[in-house]
Amino acid sequence: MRHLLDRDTATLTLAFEQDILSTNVENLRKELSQTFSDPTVTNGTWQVLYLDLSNIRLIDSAGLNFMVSIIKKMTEKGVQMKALISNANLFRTFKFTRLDKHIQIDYNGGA
Amino acid sequence: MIGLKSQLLNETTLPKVMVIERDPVSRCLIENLFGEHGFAGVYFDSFEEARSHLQQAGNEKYDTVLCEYSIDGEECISFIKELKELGSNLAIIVFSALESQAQIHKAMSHGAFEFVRKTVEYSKLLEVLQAAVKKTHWQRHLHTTAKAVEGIGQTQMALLNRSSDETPFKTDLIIYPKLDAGGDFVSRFDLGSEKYITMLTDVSGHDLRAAYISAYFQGMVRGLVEGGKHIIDIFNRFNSFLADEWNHESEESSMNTSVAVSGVMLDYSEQRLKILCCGAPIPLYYEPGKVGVTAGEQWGYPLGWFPDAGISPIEMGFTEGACLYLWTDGVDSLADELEVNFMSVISRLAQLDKDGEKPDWFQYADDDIMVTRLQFCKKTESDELPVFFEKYAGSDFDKIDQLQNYWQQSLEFALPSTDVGLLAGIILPLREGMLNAMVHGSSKSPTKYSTLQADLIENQRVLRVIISDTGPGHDFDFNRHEEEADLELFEAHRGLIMMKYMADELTLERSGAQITLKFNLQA
Repeated sequence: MRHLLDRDTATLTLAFEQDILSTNVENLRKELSQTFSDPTVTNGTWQVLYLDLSNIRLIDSAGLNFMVSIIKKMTEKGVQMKALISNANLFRTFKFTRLDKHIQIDYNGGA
Repeated sequence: MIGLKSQLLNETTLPKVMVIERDPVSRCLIENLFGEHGFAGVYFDSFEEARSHLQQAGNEKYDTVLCEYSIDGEECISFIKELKELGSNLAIIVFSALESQAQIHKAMSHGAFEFVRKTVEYSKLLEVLQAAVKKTHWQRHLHTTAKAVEGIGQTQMALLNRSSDETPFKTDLIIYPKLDAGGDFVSRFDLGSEKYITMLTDVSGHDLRAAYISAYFQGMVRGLVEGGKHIIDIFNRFNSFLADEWNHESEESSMNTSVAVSGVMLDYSEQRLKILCCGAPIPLYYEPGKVGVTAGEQWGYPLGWFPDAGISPIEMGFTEGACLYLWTDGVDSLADELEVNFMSVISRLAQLDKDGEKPDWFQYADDDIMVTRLQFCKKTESDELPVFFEKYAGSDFDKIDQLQNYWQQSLEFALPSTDVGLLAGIILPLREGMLNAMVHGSSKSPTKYSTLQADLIENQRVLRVIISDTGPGHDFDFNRHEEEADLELFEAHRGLIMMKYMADELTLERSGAQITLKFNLQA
C-alpha cells in the first residue's frame, strides 16, 4: 500500500495494489497502522483520506470490515473519505453494502 | 511402364513392388533379383508417373515401394509425404548411388522404411524388401483393426439406443477416444421385472489387448447375468480370472491388466440403486435443485489387482427426474491438466456433443474419455447440467485464494459463452459462502466437509450455486442485521449481505447451513 500526502489539497492518498481479501487483510491492517504512525502523516495536516482502489477487482466481507474500521477511525478524526473505483463489481459492492453513504465514490469504470 | 505382362502372370501370388527407377542397368539388376527371389515389379520412370498411376489404381495392390532418391531433380520426399498424407500404409524403400548422410536422414525422417545403397547392397535389398512387405501387411492389419475398434463407440451408441426404448430410463453417452484402440465400454443388461444393470468399464492400456479384455469382460458378464449369477459374484469371478490366471501368466512381461468398472444395479419399480465401484471414479447422483451425492467415498480397487477385490456396494434410492453420472478416469486426468473441476469437463463435453464441435483442448487428454448419464425420467429430458461439484474440508479455508482461482477457471471453462466479468461477479459470493461454510459450518476441521455445486439451468441461462455444510447453521434476522450493519457500522458479518445483493436470488435452508444462489447469465 503506497501513501502520498498532498499538503496543497490536505489529502492523504492510500493506493491499494492488490485485492482486499480475508487472506491479506491482516497485513493491510498492519501496513495501515505503520502508515498512520509515519511522522509525515502523523504531523501533517490532512482533511481528506483518498482511497485509490482503481487497481482492485475484489473485496470480500473481511475487506469490507477493514473498510468499516477505517471509516470509523476517520469519522472520529473528522476526516472526510473518498475512494476511486474502476471495477464494476467493486462499485456494486460498495453500493449495496451502503458504504457509499460513508465514502464519496469516484467511479470511472463501465456500467 | 514395362514388365506388365510378366507381372500379370504373378499378380495373385508374388509380393508386388512399385519400382520408381529410370536407370536401365539398375532396373535390369532389380528384375533379376525379383525373378530369382519371387517378387513382382511394376516399373515407373518418374515420381509423376507413379503418382498418376496410384491415383487411378490405388495403393492397396502394392506391397512395398522401391524408389530412387532423386529423378530429374525431383526428390522422393514429396512423394513419400503425399503417400503418408493419403493414409497409405506402404513401406517405402529409398535407394541411391550417390547417397549422403543428409539424404539418408531426410528420407528416413519423412517416413521412409529404409535407405539402401544402390551400388553395393543388392543382397541387402532383398532382406529389406522382405521386411518392407511384412511391414506393409502389418500396418494394413493394424489400420483395419484400429478402424474396427474406433467404431466401437458408434456401435455402443447404436446398441444402447436400440434397447433404450424398452427401458424406463434414458442413457446418454459421451465418447472421446484418444487412441485408436482401448478398453472403455458401456453396457446395459435387462434382468426383467424392471431390473437393469449398467456398467462402465475401463481396461488398463490403450491397445488391442485392452480392447480384447474389455470385450471378453462384457461377454462374460452378459453370459453369467443371463445364467442368473449375481453381479458381485461375476465381478469377483473376473477379478480371480485376472489376478490368478491372466496376470499370473503374463507376470514376466510386466503387462498386468486391470479393469476399472462402475456397475449400477437398478431396480426401477423399487426406485433403488446399488452401485459397485471398482477402481473407477465414484459415480455422482444428481437431483435437480439438491446437493449431489457421491456413491461412496473411496474408489475401491480395480479388478485384477488383488485376489480379494473388496467389493462393497453402496445402496441408495432415486427419484424421477434425477440422474446418475458415471465416467472414466480419463475425465479426471484431463480436468487436472486443464486445472478445472471434473464436472466442468463433463458438462463442456456434453454441450460440445450437442453441437458436434471438436474441442481443441482435447489435445491435453492422455486417456480415452467416456461419460454416461442415466436419466431416471424418460419422457422429459432434464435441462439442468451440473458444471461444478467438489467437497472441501473445513481446514481448506486458508487456501481460499487458490480455490477462488480454480472456481473461476472451472466456470469460465464450463460456460465459455458467458461474459468473464459476469463470472467474476459470481466468484465473490461463492468465496463468501464457502468461507462461511468452512470456517463456521465445518469449524475449520479437516474431517468436516462442505459442498460447492454449480448447475446450469440451460433453458433459463441461470447458474444455480448450492453451498452446503454439515453444521447447525445460525439463527439470523437478515433484515435487522443489514440495517444494524449499516447504521452502527459493525465490523463483521457482511458476507451474507454481499451474497444477497450480488446474486439474483438467495435462499437459505437449515438456518443458513445450506444456501442457494441464482445468477442470471444473460448479461
